Amino acid sequence: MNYSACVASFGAVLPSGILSPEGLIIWKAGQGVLDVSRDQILDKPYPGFGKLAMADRMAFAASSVALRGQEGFTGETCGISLGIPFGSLSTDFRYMESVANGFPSPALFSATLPSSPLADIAIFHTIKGPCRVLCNAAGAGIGALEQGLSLLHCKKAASVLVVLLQVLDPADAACPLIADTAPRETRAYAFLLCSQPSQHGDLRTLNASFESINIAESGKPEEVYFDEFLGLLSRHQSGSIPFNAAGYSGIITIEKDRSWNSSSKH
Amino acid sequence: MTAAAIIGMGAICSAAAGVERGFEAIRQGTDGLSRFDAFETGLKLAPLCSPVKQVPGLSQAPNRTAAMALCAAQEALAPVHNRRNLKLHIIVATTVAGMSRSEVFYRKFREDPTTAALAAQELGHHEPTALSGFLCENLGGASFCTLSTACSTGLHAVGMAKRSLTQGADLCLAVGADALSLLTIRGFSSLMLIDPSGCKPFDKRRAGISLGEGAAAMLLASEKAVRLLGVAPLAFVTGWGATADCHHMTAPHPAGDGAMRCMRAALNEAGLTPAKIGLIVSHGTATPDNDLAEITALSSVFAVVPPFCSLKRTLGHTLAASGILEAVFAVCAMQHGCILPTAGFQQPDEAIGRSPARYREQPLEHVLKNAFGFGGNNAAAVISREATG
Amino acid sequence: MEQLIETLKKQIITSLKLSDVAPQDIDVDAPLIGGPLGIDSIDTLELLVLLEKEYGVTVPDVNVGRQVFSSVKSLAEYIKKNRPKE
Repeated sequence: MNYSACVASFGAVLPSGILSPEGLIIWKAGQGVLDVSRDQILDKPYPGFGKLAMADRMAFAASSVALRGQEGFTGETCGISLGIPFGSLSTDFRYMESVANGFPSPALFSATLPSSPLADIAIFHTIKGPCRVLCNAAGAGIGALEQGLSLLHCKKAASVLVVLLQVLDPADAACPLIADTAPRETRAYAFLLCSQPSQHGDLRTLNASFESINIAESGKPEEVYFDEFLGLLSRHQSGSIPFNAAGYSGIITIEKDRSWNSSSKH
Repeated sequence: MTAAAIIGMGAICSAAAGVERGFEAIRQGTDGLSRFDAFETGLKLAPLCSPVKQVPGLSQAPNRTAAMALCAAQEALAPVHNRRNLKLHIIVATTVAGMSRSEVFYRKFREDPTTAALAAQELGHHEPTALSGFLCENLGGASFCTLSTACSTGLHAVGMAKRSLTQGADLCLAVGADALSLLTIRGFSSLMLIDPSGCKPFDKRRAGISLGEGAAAMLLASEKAVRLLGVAPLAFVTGWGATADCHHMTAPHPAGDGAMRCMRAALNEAGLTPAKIGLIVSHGTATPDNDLAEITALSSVFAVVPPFCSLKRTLGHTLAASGILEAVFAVCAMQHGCILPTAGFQQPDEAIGRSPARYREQPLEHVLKNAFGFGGNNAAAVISREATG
Repeated sequence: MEQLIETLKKQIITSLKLSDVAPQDIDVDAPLIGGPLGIDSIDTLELLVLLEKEYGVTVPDVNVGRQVFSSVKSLAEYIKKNRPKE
């Protein structure tokens, strides 16, 4: 299945720093991905930011970076497609701990839902269109991208935020219960895709083809494809990224039909 | 968008294993709740739930959710004896997945850290995606996809299956499954969403949900597949819609804004006016907020509100399975030509201003199913006897 | 009472993980739920857990709850009145 869309914006919260169309902001000394602060990703105050569970906070951070300056992206024609490879493993353990301690935490329970980051993003950024969550292990992000493009293609939404989230609580990294296949680093990516170019902001065109495959084999770890995708967008380049992820194989192509007008100084 | 043919269905719930037997319990308005005693909940009073008494194949499956999912999936695939090289895509809806097993293991690990050696085996099927892999392997699937949006997931799976048929797939199996677990029992309890005396949908005295467990599956096929396989469709998914409330993590939009929009979207896609709907199988969880918001939404969409029902007293709230499980019984209602009763309802609520219908025979052409998930994630589907033009 | 209020403010900030808020920013008479701190119904349930864990105090029903959580001051008064005597 082939799709076309415009990439209006992107945001990522990565081990190296915060990446946006304006460039990369590296972390302050001693700061890591999980310490991202509200003022680094959002201009207005948000007292609820610190309350967000880790997964929710990462997805929210990447999404907020992508949505900066995108005032038109709101309302019923906007949707969200979220890929979480491993549900909310860290939060599941926190919640089980609170039950075992005799004081189950209501906030943690609602955070164990893989779809809870959707609500946080939708509520704060006023997004009212179709939202879905894929938990496809090694192919959740690619699957979420396919779903997002499909929503645009079927005219269920005029714009969609595609988010890939990989979260691991460092405390759990030392936990003997966490499988070797769980992510060892936290990273969150968000891409704002539209079916039409928007009035402001300059865009790249994304073409992607997806073919359903049997999941057993996966090519590179998914984040490698997304890092390449970000690289092309950041460097204002065209290019193609063939991928082979759980569930789909195909190719993502970025075309330079209008150059990205970055405000960063080169 | 063309309609998707439903050529097979499967279900397992507290009432019975099997669609027909389950439907009989629904038709009778059976009270499916009992005091939960499968394991210690740590609550002063165990809640009234709807557990499945006997899960076929439990000992061979990685966990309870997987066993139920496989059972329902196999029933749905039964009408197709020979797939004739058509590829089967599987879309799975679950929130609990392997948690019912993981939480037991976690408690053992807390007492005895040396059990960590068993982690790979005990937690290997914790994740939703492992459930899909298990089904894909056992059913000879070509690919799978896993969704998890709380209580609306089942219906999202149906919608996604419908969409994939318009994009080249021939056979798509939507499966929803969730087992009862300590996590969900304590979780909903800590959110004060459980009714201690059992759910009473749309009733004036309603005070919350009752949890249940189960699984259901719908096999959807393209026109080409229907011809090739020589099967007669049971019904068609003719419309589907999804929206976000943009309101709150666990409470619905009070005016049912997102619900209203997704019902309209489903009707639009089906090319139907609201007046064509003969029965609404509501989300009807019996929380004070949901039932009021849902009827408010219905009243906005339908100038004349058709007969509506909630199946949650008979089935319990089966979370990710509920969207598909109840959609399956909506199809049965259409096949048998009857309006379904709402077990647990006795006293009308003036604030809601409407009562669910009683059981009666009535031919049905189109049925609407709603499912609303935590975080305001809504889905609605229109199911019809014939593919609409 | 003053001591209890000061401690409560800190506990609310910690247990609800409120960011951009310091104890001196909290108005003890302002509504807690839906007020300036952006506290919602899930937070209220977390506060119930806090009450039980830290002070051994429970809230019997939703109507009492509404009164108890109407401000930090009313919360402190409820605790003072109902906490088990040491």
